[in-house]
Amino acid sequence: MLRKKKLIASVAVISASLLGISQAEVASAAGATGKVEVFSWWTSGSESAALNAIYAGTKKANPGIEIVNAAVAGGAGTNARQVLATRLAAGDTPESWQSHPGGDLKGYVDQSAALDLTSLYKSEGWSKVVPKALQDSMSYNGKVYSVLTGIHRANTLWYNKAALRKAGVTLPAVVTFADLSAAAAKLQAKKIAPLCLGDKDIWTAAQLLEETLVGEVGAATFNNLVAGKASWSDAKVQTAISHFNTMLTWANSDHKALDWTGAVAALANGTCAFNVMGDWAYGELQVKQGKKDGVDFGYAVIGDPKVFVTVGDSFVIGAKAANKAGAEAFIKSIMDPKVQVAFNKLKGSVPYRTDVSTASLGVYQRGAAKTLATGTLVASLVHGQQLVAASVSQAFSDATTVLEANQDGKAFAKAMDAAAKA
Amino acid sequence: MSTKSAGISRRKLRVNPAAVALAPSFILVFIFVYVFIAYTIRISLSKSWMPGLQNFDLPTPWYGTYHDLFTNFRFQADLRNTVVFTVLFLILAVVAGLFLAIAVSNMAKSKVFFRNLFLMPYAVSFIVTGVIWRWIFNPVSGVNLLLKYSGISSLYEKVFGSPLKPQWMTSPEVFGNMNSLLSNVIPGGDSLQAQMGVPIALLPVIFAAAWQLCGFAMAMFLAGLASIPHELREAAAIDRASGFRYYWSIAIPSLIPMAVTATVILTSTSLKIFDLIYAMSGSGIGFSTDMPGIYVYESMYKALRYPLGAAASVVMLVLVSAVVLPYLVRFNKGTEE
Repeated sequence: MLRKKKLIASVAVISASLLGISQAEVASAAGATGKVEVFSWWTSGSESAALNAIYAGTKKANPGIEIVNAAVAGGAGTNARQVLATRLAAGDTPESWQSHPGGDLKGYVDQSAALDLTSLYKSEGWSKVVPKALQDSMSYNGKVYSVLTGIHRANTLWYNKAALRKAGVTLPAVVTFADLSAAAAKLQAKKIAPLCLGDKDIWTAAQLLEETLVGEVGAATFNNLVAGKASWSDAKVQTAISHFNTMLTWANSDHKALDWTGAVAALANGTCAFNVMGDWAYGELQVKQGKKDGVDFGYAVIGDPKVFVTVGDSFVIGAKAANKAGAEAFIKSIMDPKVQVAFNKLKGSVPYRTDVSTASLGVYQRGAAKTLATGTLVASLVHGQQLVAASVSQAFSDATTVLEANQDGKAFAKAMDAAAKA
Repeated sequence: MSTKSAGISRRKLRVNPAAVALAPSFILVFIFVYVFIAYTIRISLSKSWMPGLQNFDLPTPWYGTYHDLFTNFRFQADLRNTVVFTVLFLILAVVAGLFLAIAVSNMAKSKVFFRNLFLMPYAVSFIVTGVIWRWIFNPVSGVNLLLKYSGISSLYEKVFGSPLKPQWMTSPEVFGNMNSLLSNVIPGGDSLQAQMGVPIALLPVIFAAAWQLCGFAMAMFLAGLASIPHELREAAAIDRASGFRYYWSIAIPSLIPMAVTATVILTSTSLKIFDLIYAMSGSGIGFSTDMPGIYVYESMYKALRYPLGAAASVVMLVLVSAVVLPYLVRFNKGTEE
């Protein structure tokens, strides 16, 4: 079968060259060929396995293609971005590379490094099957520039069931700060730290603040704050900040010496009760800590449970890439319904396409997929997903670092107003 | 090293074929060091340079990026941390290195064993050191358990009323406040936002760095001690000088060149420090353990503000040059005489 396809392809190439048809047109007829270099920061366990699932899909649809996996490890993509920046400056463009939607992607669009994918979204009918808010987070001036592999949820409130039982805490369907505050008092009486935190790296604390803020002010206001269209000194924002300050006093006392996995481990051990962490913690709890969903741990959301704070990874086509047809084939395979399911099953996230069957995914993922399709979506600023310059996200981290030391909500507002309006 | 050979080649340029042989490496060094330094300085003066959009337009005023940098809370804290870290780390590492060197050189047995033992941490990567010392200084597990079970903590409680539980890197405190003093001394000192003092959280990091590098200082001092003529020690013994007197009046003064070299090398290490901090404490509460190196990295590759990152790295270059250049000039003079 494969040999036959190759034969057809080579016959097509020969006849095409005789007829003077360009190589790209042939590629679209019999699958793309040639080398496709894919640049990412996915090198570890489940991530590289998930990436390989996309590669397998690309190769199946395009037997003549050769994928060059250029992955750079470390620093949640910071190291990879450094290498990519050097390569782009030198004009050595990979066919496709990983980028966060939002500020990161905006940087590439500003540099005219990423190709406009609007026509692909139209011709393949993707616009109809992906959440509009997510497509918008990758669009500039009405043009969309990348496709998402899958989406993680950042605003999940994990809790240790045994710890809550011990303190006699029951959670309502919609968890407010007042509920958490009452729970904290009961937990502290039992000498259990109410909050699990590991903010040696500041993003975990920044994420706690972000999710508290989104829970307090709602999705629309949060987006306005980030875009500089609303003031950070607003009373509701200040309330959220003071909630955050209070929550820090609930945290395990070694929080500044732990990373996020340390906080998840502490939650699993029951020395603390609640942890605000993205749903990548799910795998950590189940696989590494050996805890059972619904038995040992449960999850909720601060504020409206229909609000879904998104963290996704997307891929673009390099505007100056040599093999654009190959890059397009790779992007198409990311959006292949089968690949979407296979990828997200391995990565622990939720498919970008809302029209695929999630029956084979885990219980948690099925619930999250439902919320993604029907809920209110907000792009995470902390994870660089908001449609603003990357420096706003950095300013949020920096302001949180200072806030931890001085608890000064006014100074925080001043710093963020300056950054968001710049 | 390169300036030394530059001095030689300048004198013998006309006759020496060595100059021809050395030319390629000079050209490469010129391009990959000096041209790139110039390029970085140029980027730091641009308004919005990006790798794919190389726009070199100046901001208004032209030093705008540097103004942003020096009025930034975080960078002010970084400069404070660099100074505090460098001074305390140097004192600790050089003094500990000297003591180790004297101790090892006086050992009757197992000299080689202990020399290697104390040198061992130097061979470990900063990342490993950072992770290990992060665990050791964890306020819940780590060294505080030692204080608890040895009874030191409860003894402290009997004397001072509260148990001894240092917070180590998790402390948000900054000891001392020099802001008002500095605002009178340096220009623009009134725009100081960060509290100028000694961040308590920095102390465990300084300790870890000194632990790692005191072996290096020891090795240099050991070499220095070995080069002191044996007759001097014998003469001192005949004059009935005590061991302390011998070290204080003879050995240590003759070790000063070693101390200067060790200080310069350790200072340049400390001004550039990145990995140890990154692995051990991160930026810390209120940037109490942040460093210019981390700032450069984050402004460039997280915030994508290349001019700002370039400006911060130029400041780092100036700081390192201020330490290394006088040393090289002195060294150069020494070899020419």
